[in-house]
Amino acid sequence: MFMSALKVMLETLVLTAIVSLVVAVLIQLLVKLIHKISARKNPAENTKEIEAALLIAIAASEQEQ
Amino acid sequence: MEYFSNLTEIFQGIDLLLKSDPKIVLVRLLLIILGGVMIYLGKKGVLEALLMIPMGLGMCTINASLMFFDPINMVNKTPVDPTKVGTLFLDSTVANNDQLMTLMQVDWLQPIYTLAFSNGLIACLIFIGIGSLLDVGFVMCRPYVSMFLAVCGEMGTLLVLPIATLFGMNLHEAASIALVGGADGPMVLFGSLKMAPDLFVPITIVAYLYLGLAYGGFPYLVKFMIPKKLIGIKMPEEKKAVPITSGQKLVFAICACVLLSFLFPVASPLFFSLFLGIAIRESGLEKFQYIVSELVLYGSTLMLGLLLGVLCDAHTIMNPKVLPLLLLGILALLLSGVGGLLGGYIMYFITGGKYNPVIGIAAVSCVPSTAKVAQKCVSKVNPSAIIMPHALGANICGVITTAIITAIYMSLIK
Repeated sequence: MFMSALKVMLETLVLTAIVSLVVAVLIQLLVKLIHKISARKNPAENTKEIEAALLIAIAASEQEQ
Repeated sequence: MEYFSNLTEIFQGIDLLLKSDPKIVLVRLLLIILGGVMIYLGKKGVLEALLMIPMGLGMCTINASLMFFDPINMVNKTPVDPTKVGTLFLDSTVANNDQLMTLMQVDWLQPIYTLAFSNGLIACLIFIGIGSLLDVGFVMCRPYVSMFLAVCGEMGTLLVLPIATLFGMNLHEAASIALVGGADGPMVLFGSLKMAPDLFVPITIVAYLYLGLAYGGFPYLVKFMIPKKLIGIKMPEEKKAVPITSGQKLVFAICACVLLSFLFPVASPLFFSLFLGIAIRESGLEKFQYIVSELVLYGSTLMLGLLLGVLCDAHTIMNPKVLPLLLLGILALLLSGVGGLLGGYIMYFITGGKYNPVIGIAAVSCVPSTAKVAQKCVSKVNPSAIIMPHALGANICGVITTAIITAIYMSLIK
């Protein structure tokens, strides 16, 4: 009985680790995917961010010159 | 003499007391005192008051209100057994459907026990309520760390399974008592009901008794395992994270519910209940949110506490299997606490001393008690250190991993 319980314990540990990893990866993927979709849905905000980054880059290069 | 016999007929409790085995009388007395202590500690805030007060009063009353009572023969108008002991609360041992129907008309808590407790409904209702209080955003911000800690916080749930077999338990019983290490009352109720129905009453009582104790006991474990210098570590400010919207949390709840129910259909009622609560919260259904987070959760907790107390009668407690259950239950919870803190230590070393190891205790999934315990321990040492968001992430993942382990046990142990 002890040996079969030990076997079940090890199987459970491996399965739990795998499923937990799958759930964590799923969460990460979902968050990334949803951010991408919302970025596409709000191109105006996206453009503003790019514009701001460009302006900073231009200002920095002007200073260097 | 005749006057005395009339008196014992009027005061049936005294009659039973005079004719009972002294051992039973002693256990009844001890249980009445224990019930009183539970009420006192609940009122003082040492134990979880929501559960301990109805449970304690139930325990006191059930052990006081025993009498010579044979309701089935009385109702059926068949010869009554004058030595049969019972109460007007409920009978958890009845198996025959006809007898059950008779008792449903006699014992006032029998309908709730039969239709809500012994089929796991009350566990699912509590899970809907818990789900409606969970903010999965904490998990979505840091899924890997939270899941890692949650798996570490299941050490007791895993290790107690083989240990319990050394106490002469079969695999079903061993798995049911090992689930106490998950520190999730509804999960223990559900798991033991499916795997070890004969022991599900004492296992559930042991589980809830210890869950109340965990709130008061875990701070000592933290103090014992972690030096003061590390308890006060401030978590570093995280990089400005993109905020997670309620829509994103809702999508996560749907995907996780479908995936986990697909993988483990045996525990799908629990997964569904938990994620239904989350979905209600994130959908902004305020009226439903109020019903499940206030009425359903607290109503079910009250009924659960009451039923658990009423089930703690001397005859149940004197079952020879209860003592090993008491030992294994506390061992499971202790090992899970140790596992969670070891997980915290691993994170502390991986991050080069920037992670507060106390967060590990929150991985023992008693939502939200252990997260509160973690923050309380840290605040005592360093009032400016805030670890609650990290602790809640581990806490919520703990619920998910306990449900996963319950499902695996139910699937593997046939």
